[in-house]
Amino acid sequence: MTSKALSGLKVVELGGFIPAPYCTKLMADLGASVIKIEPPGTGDPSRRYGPFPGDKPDKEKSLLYAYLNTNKKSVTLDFKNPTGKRILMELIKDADILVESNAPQAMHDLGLDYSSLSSGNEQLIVTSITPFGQTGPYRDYKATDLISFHIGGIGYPTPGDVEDPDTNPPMKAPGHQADMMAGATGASGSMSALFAREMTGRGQHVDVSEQEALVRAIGMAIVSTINRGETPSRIAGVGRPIATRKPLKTKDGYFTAQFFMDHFWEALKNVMGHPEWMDEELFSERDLRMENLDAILLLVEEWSQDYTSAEIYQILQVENHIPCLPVNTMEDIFNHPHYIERETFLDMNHPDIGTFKSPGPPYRWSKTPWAISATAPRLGQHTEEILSGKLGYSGLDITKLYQLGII
Amino acid sequence: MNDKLPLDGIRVADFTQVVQGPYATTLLGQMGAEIIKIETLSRTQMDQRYGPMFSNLNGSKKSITLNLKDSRGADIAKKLVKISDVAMENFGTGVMERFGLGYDDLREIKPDIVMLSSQALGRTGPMKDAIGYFAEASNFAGFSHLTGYSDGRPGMVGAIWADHLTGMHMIFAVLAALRHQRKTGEGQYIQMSMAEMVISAIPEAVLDYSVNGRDLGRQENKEIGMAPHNVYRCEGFDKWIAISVGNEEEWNQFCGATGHREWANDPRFSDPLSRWDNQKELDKLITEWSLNHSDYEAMAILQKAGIASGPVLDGNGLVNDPHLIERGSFVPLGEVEGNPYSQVAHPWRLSDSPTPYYALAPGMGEHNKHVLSDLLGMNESDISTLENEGVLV
Repeated sequence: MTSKALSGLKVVELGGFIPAPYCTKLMADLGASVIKIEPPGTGDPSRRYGPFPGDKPDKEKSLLYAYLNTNKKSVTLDFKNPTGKRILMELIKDADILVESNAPQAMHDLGLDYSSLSSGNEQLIVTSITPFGQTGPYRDYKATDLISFHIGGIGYPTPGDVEDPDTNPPMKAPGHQADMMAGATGASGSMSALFAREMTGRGQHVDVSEQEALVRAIGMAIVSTINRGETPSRIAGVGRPIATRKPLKTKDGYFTAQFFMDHFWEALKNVMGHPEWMDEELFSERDLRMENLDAILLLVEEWSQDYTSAEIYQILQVENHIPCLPVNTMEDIFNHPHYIERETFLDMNHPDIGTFKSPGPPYRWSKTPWAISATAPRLGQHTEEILSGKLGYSGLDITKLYQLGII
Repeated sequence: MNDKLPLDGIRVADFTQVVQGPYATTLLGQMGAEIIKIETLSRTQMDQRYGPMFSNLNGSKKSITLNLKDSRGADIAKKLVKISDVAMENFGTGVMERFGLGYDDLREIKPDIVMLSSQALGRTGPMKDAIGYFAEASNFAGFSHLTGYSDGRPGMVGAIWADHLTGMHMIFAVLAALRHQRKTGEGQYIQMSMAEMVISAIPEAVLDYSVNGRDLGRQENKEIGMAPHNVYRCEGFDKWIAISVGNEEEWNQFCGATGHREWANDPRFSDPLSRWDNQKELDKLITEWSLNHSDYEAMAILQKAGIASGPVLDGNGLVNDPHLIERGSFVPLGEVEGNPYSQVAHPWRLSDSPTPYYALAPGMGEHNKHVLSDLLGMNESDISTLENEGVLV
């Protein structure tokens, strides 16, 4: 058996939808053994989220669930019930990491705050991924990806290039970017705590606030606000256009390209046949070009609309080494020769969903490959295996627990 | 409390530039790793040293300047890799190889090195040589196509999102690889493509196309089946509240909290499907309510009723947010360019490790002497020869 980067790492997941499951997916896909705890009956809320094949909802066929829970084992357990809680404590007794995403007050009320959780295992790392973290006035406030994205400061300047802010509201990013970032932050934080444990022999509490994970990613807005009183905005021409990279039209689509650096600017001049406006004072230096990017883009678009996206890519990127790529649709990404040659999409063979293509590895490892060894589990698929095999419960105990709705 | 930071003793030879790599290494530096940033004046600078922006991504590091095109510069880089645990880079495909610093070169001098390379589209495939930043990677991943207003052009997320997302995964990958290296003595090479990273972060849209052949295009602030689920104008210029109602219980609470119990009985809104179908009308009515409140008032009213909500914050809003202030999310670090500078706090908090190591970005080449003489044991006359002959630029 090939060894994996995280072989031997024992992880328990106690939190649904995206943040905690994405965090533990990152670990599971590198070989950690992850036990996922789901509420009996309904299971992880992502089982109710689409897309579903043929729009036929089925808790075993959510593609989002199938994506987020590869390589994990599913145990159903009502940890809010005292007996369920006892079983949870047994499960984490020899675990390295518990990843949870429940409201801090609720965990406290259940007797599952960090000090209680770690009482039977001082090596345990508890990673809590919540909308607002473990402290502060909003710590028990509710949020979804939409809220986190906007209160994390990234929605305000999105999607850029807006004339009338009243009719063009702030936008979130597609999918659940805030949740994914929070999950990845939890995964990195958990790893750092493993390194600390090597020195001390003790686990610790890793506190991830989804809001802060976003705020750190827009640190440029903070430093620019504090340092210069300038804040990025989606309103055209307001604030430095730090992140305004407006896609420009071609004959058949859109592209972006970066022109503000000197050598790219010079290359663009040649490509466009050195039009007079490019010699204007207000485009003469990199900083000025950044300031006047909107004007540049408008003028470049007049030129680019005469070409197809493929031609623009060829002219700018291939022939002139200007950073430039077209905007792909979903159809485009599945059919692109680049992605096909790289096997960007993996063939999954899921017992309930069937065969389908799914995003492959976010990274490629030379010695310990990222791999999907097991598709996402059915609800409670491993309850009996874990309860009897790992924790030593008898068949009769398991029947009783099932009858009581605890598993 | 332990007195050492978690990554104390780990050294990173940091060849990265622009945003994604520097983001990853500044966070590793804050966690105690010794980051040696290799900079150069000898090639066109992607990595402009814009004061506050630069510190945001390059604080907590050491800086040396090396002309990697000069074989003596590349040799020093190799010596540095020999005493490092990790090497990271995000040049265009082939650049490190041209310097003689590709993975095969580096593992010859340091067999257990963990090396990570990240390129816009990866190091294989017909477009491996394409260069691009976050916007281009987001385009090529299909992400820009999904961003923005339904009737508008593709949009750009107002942060350098793909870089930060990739950077966060770089940290996870490097630490996981280091764990493996410590357990087995085995180093390895990790390759990333920013575009593939982004694809893996939009599974909902990708899988809907993959399985159902459907491309919903620009997603605005929507979440399928959820209404209200949007941002709504509040009192003041360009102030908004984000509101997300998840189920019937929350909907009833929402109607009560806004003083509009009649909405719950209005046939246009009484069940989730009707609300979804009539969300434009519903959003209009909610805006009439929200316009009479400040964004924070609206949040207080709605959170009290158990509704997920929060203001849309801009830079000023973040800096003044009471929750972020109480959590110490901004760490003052003196001045940059004569104006105050605050570092945004590390994105995870550890209960049993010291405060992260926060420092402003080093001056360019500030640590040349320290690295060359203290770490690599070179003598002063050799260093001044290198200096005089243009190797340390």
